[in-house]
Amino acid sequence: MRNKKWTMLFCFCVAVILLSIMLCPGCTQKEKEPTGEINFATESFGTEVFDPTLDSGNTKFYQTILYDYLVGANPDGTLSKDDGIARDWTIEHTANCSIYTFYIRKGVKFHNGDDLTAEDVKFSIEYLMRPETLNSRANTFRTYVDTIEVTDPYTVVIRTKKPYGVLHYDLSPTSFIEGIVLPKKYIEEVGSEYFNTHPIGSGFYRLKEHVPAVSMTFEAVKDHWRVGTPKYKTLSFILAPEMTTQVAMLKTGQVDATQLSHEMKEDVQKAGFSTFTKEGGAIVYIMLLNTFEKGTYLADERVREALNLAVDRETIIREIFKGAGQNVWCGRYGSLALGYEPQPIYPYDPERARALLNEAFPGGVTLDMAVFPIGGTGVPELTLVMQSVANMWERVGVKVNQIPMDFGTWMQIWQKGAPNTVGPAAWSNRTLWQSGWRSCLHSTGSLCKVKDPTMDALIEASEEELDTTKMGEKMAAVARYVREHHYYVSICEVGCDFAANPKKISSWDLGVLLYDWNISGLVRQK
Amino acid sequence: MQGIITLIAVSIIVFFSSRLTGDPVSILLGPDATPKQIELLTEKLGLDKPVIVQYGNWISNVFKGDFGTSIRYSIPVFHIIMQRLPNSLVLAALGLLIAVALAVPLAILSAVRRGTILDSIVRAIGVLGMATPSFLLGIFLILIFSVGLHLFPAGGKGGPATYIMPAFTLGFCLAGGIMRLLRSNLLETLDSDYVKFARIKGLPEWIVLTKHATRNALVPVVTFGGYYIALAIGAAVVTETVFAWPGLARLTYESVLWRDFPVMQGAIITISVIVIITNIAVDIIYAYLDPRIRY
Repeated sequence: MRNKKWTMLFCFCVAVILLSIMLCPGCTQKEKEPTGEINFATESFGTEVFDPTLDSGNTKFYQTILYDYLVGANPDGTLSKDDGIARDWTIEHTANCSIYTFYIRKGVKFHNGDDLTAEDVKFSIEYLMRPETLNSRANTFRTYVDTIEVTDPYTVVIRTKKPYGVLHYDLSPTSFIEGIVLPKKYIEEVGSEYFNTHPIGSGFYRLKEHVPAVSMTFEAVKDHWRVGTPKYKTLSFILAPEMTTQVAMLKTGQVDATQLSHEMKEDVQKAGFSTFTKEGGAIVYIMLLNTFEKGTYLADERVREALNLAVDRETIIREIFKGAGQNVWCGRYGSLALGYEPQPIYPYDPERARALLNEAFPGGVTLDMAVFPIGGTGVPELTLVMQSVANMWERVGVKVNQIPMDFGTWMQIWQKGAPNTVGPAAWSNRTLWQSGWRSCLHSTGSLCKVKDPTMDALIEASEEELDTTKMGEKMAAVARYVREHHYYVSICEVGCDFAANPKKISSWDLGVLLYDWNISGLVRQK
Repeated sequence: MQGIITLIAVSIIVFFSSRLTGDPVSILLGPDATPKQIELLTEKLGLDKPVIVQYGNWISNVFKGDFGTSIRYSIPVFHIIMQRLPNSLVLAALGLLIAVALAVPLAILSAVRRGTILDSIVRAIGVLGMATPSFLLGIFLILIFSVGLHLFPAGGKGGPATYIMPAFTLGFCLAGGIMRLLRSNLLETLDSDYVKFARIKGLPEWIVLTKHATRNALVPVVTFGGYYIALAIGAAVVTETVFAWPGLARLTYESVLWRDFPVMQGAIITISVIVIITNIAVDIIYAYLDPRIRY
């Protein structure tokens, strides 16, 4: 009897211990040590700098693993209070200013072990606004940010010079790299130059080795506050400018994933590799220069409409992008924009295009067309698109002088302006378009080729709007106006493709964030 | 002395012509930049000063061993060039080695067996080598030996295996030229009086061929080889791009695209120095091959 009692007690104890083991989250879900490596091939590293203020902001896939943003964002582009350094924030708008209060997450550490505090957040924004910065978005901060105050080690209050509704978006991955939080103490100790080559951040990987124009290798940070312990011990980006080489590197196992041109997608799939698409990743359109210059072809609205009507977008999408694109109704505006409203697309109507051209210029229209590739946009087919469009325009009677050049030469032409000249553009799709519009469509913009008071007023209205819903509506109004006056030749919105080894990457949500590959989603253990 | 004058001339041409192609500011800042930002960066890079002042500052720093800082990478130019130069030198040397190893025996065989099927085959190989674009050969090699047979890595620089395909691509394209040049020279020398005299003396045919005929026939080939070395270091952009090879040629090409003036200038000066050194080496080899040549 006594033995039975002891046996029952023993069994009860064992059951309790087993149950505790099963229910203890730390025991059952403990993350494994990171092992192995994951390698990505890429066609371009851009400027290849680690100090985010030394880059215009157009390449950040390797910065998003090294640093964290003040405001987090989900892969679908919505802001997140779980994925940023700010665990919460409040926004207060007054008649004269806006007050953003960010509450900083405790326990976040930089790679050297220093705590990340509100002082680092304040420093990062001031560092971005310093004169030496190359980040073109710094000007938005200089224009709007008045004071940055650290009220306690984990609270930052930013006051703007005038009411401004989207500072929290500017400080998130939905924008460029302005929201990255940098280590104040470290940068002050070692200086900016050293920091650029020996960076530390609070991201889930730390830089291990950088061979300029060859590779970047990173090492996993264990128990990262956001990602946990990444699956892979090392992560590398390997530069291979030629697409065929990138795909060959994937096939031989040198890399586990690579960017992909649309025409190679089928071949890669047939070879047994997985392909993933960043949906609507880029907007492809054609810029029309000096539309304000009276007497020139492009100043005539009928010519601009004809150029739009003469483009057979469906064929371009089918033949060049292998069906991976969708027709858009306005250049330089896309489906990820806040408050995006679908509008009727341009029909393919070569007859009407020809009639409009004859009506406007019976003697014929001649245009200079710049033809060049733009690296890192995810649209390697850009020159092919331009050549196709040139043929379509020729068919309706436009004489097109195709001029091969490089991006640098085009930038010079674009800045100076040139009548009767067109050039290609492939822009990453984004939530907010105002900064781009300010430089290219507002008469005060450095690259403005429009000069239209109504356009200026519409852009200003969208910039000044504080309510994000209404701001979306006002952005749509700008896009509609661009469409109505045919200031661009829209082509399509196109997905950016990636290929991967299915043994290593079985699923990959590339998300919609600007210049981001959502690597955090890829390396998470859970 | 001639070399120094050449270098100064190259530096002037490169410096001033690069300024005609545009400026790096707009590329670095992107289209959203404001006029104020453009002005600030132009000032920071020293591009606001008159070009002659910019040149003076740059050349005086070069004499002190300072090539400046890369506009694109924000690191010293010297550091970048020194990372790339050994890769280019080794690749060019290996390419030359492969070319010589292929071309010399085949050219001798072709000249000796003139008019036979063997001669026709060798000549066809020579034409193929000269006519095959390096990007095509490179991609074929990648598809066959990397993707198909898994023998070599498709690209990048790593262990010894990564050198083989890019070096072969460079070497094969050069081999065709060397082969044809050496063959025609050999045919000429094999008909010359001194070769006939050597044969009359009763020397074995292989000594006649190697010591008397080939040695003299190699003089123009050395010139060609010297030219090739410079070409392989400075102009192997296609091969370096296809194989993702981190060499000096691709660095120079990319610096032109990015208008990274300090890197462009530094790289071209480095390539010019190599060309001058190669020419000096070629002159020395001439004297060794042909004792009649004296300086």
